[in-house]
Amino acid sequence: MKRGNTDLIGGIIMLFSGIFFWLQMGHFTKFGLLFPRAIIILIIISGIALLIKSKVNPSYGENIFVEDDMPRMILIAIICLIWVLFMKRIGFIVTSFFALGLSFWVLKDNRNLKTFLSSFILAACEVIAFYYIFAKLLYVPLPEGILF
Amino acid sequence: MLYTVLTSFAAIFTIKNILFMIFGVTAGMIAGGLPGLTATMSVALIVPFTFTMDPITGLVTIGAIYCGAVFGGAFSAILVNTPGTPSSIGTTFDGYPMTKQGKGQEAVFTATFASAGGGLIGTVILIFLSVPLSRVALKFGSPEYFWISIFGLTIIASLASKSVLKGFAGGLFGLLISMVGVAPIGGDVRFTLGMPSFQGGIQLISILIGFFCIPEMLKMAGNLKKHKMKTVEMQSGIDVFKKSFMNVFKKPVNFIRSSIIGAFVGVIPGAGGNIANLVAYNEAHRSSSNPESFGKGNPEGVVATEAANNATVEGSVVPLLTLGIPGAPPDAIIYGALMLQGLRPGPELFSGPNAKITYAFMLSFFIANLLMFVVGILGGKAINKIVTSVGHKYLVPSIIFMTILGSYAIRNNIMDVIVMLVGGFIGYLFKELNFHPGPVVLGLILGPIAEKGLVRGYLMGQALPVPWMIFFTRPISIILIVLTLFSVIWPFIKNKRDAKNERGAA
Repeated sequence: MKRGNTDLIGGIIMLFSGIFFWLQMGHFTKFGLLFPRAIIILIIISGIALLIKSKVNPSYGENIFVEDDMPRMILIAIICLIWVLFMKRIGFIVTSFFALGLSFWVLKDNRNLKTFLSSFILAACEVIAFYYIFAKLLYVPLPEGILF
Repeated sequence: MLYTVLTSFAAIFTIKNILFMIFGVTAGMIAGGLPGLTATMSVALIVPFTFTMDPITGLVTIGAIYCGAVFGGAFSAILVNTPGTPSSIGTTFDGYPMTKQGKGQEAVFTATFASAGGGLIGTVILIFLSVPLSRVALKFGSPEYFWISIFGLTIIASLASKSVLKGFAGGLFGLLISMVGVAPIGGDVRFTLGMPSFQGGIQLISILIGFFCIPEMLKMAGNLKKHKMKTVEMQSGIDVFKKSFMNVFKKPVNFIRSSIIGAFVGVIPGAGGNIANLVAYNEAHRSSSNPESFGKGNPEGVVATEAANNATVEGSVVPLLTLGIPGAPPDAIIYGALMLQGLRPGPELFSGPNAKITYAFMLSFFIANLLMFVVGILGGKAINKIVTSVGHKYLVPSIIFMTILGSYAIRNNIMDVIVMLVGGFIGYLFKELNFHPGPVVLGLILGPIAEKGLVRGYLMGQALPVPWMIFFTRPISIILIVLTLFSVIWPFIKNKRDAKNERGAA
């Protein structure tokens, strides 16, 4: 997307968020309901106001959702997502080693066997150093998962 | 009192105490600079080690760690757009743009001057105004907390000056997220989608890291070639040092005002550096002769937030020592440390044999802030050099790794990491749509305070014929309402005045 009506997209997001939270409102007590109800009504109103503004006096963003190397950015986002989702199941050290090494390699200018190895060596050093600081010195119990 | 102050001051000056304070300040700065490691966590980590120390050494070490951690958050805020602690949210607004302009070192030095100066002013307030300030803080009831949070929300107008409507919507979005979890009054489990991990609410620091850091890292990953940090080659260290000094002291009003705001906000229990830095930023922006440069790398913004958050440290100690009420989460840990040393917070701390220890603890903030300045200048130069010289292809994965580790370490909960990452993706979406992250985070911080104040105030008002009247009849509430109205109306008055002046000049 190059030039987009940011008020329109923003308005839809706010309206959707308000409706989503409204539907989640269960049988709350009077005191549990007082504040959320007011905020949800206000966010729906702000969403509608943004939608009206998008038609009357719209704000346009230049080059929204456009980066020089979009595939590389999306790849990094996907690696992060997989890293986080599997960290508890597989273990901190293994997931971090693979995700970090892969991220280093993805961001290299030349992707070959040499840079692949150097990326994973760097990742191993970083993961071990931080594992030692957090798990051994600060006693933070990092996820062990099925491996370690 | 003077004799006690002098003997306490002498008691701090031992080689052992100074060395422990240098260690405390340095360790605190490192922890504060790492996203996810908070001032509370740093203080909590050191308390078990201070148990075996004599009371003065133990307490001065804790005080030094506390100061260092709050200041350390500025490093990551300025250099990688990630507030290391919630107290540094406002520092990202102008600190990071300065880094992008090649003025990272100047921003770090400016933050160092402002933080140390703000801390010193806070210490003076702590020593001389402890007792009267704590009496004022006690007068704050639920309706006042509600109004102070509403006053805080008026900052949105300054933060989102490009589009107040988007700022308002962003603030409401933050308030919406803040309601996830168990309701503060009533105990309802709200908006958790049936997930028990959300019952404790959305972790503020996770969302903070996600909103500020992840979008920036994704953008760096997507623009590796053009996204290079500039460095200003022609400026020597001395020039930057002088310029940073001038940034703070050329316009002392901003610096002094922000320090006083920080100390006063710190005194109010529950309102810590996370609120003080934004209030001070708002006031700096509002009173500046060049408000349009805020958010684009104006050092005044860095001065305001950093002076305020470090003055909050000393301010939050006031209710702790005088009333036994922790002003901020790290003070709750310090409360425990005092009890471990056999010191019961309250009036008895200021009389008898305890007075020497109490005043030594308060005076140690002077030394800690001076040491923080020295370590900040030396460390700031090195850290800036590392961040600006390391290529983004190494920096991006490493910082993402630290954000994942940091958000997990807050309470060892994988859901906090997922929230951080999802928050980051939403932050990227909002950034592209020109929603400023400040209002969202502000809503998230002020939401629980506003809700508690509203519902408790309403309950208090049940004794009146019209319950809502309690919000409009108490003296401090009326002052806060006037301030809120002034804060809302002031931008319009200022715009009108500026337009009139421009017409006059033409």
